[in-house]
Amino acid sequence: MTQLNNAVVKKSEAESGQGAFLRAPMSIPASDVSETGEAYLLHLDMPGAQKEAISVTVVDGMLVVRAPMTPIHGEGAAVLYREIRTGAYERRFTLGEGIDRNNVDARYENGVLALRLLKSEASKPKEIVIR
Amino acid sequence: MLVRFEEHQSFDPLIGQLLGFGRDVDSLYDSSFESPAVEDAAFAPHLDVSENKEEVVVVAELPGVKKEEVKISLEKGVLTIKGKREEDTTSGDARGLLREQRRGKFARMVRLPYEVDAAKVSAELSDGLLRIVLPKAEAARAHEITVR
Repeated sequence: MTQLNNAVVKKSEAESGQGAFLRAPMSIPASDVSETGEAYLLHLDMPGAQKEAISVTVVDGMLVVRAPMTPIHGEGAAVLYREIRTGAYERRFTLGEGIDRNNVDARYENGVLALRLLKSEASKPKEIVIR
Repeated sequence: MLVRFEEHQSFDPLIGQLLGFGRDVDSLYDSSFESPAVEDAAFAPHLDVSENKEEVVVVAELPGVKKEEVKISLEKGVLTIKGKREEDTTSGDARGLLREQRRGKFARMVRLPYEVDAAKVSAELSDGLLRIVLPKAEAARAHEITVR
């Protein structure tokens, strides 16, 4: 439980609704987070983002993922029905102490952004040898 | 609440033709909106429908879905998108902390607003967006009438 509290999962200000209405239309990517001995793995659904336009930054202990959403309808098209949100993707995760902030690996494939955050040496599980 | 497409036989050019969508605008916000159109599906992907002079374009969100896993069919003016998203991307020793992504079987049906030329339908899956282009049948296209 301690590990979970220390870790990456925390709802952002935007998710709880505060401040969300002050910004441009925004979509919060659905995310899966899991943990192994060495790393935290984050998968964010971001269909229609462009790899070059996705930004992943660490600011003040927060991991911030942002990407503009590409317009999906051609110019002059009349939209008859709309469920897909427009604007930008944004999601924030609070990083715990046990994460190596300089070691974040990001891949974007099939509309999913996969992030791998390595744990810092001190926070990896260690087996203690019984003598 | 599951809204079946049989209930939408009547044609309303703006909203009535679409599945999982009741007759009034209020239903945009009720739970039927999220219901899978097919009963054994775990979820129904979100989609947009647009048109231009020549074609109807349906765009569906399918993040994490491989193109081999998508089946599209067209029958009696109803477009069906079906498939499966892999259950889990994490390896065996990973422990789940948060799970929001919709996985498993998906299905969605859309009643098309125009008659289309089924032989010329094309589809492309890129960056998690499925784009289906359905050329309108000749009879459904707008024709300009010259006044003599």
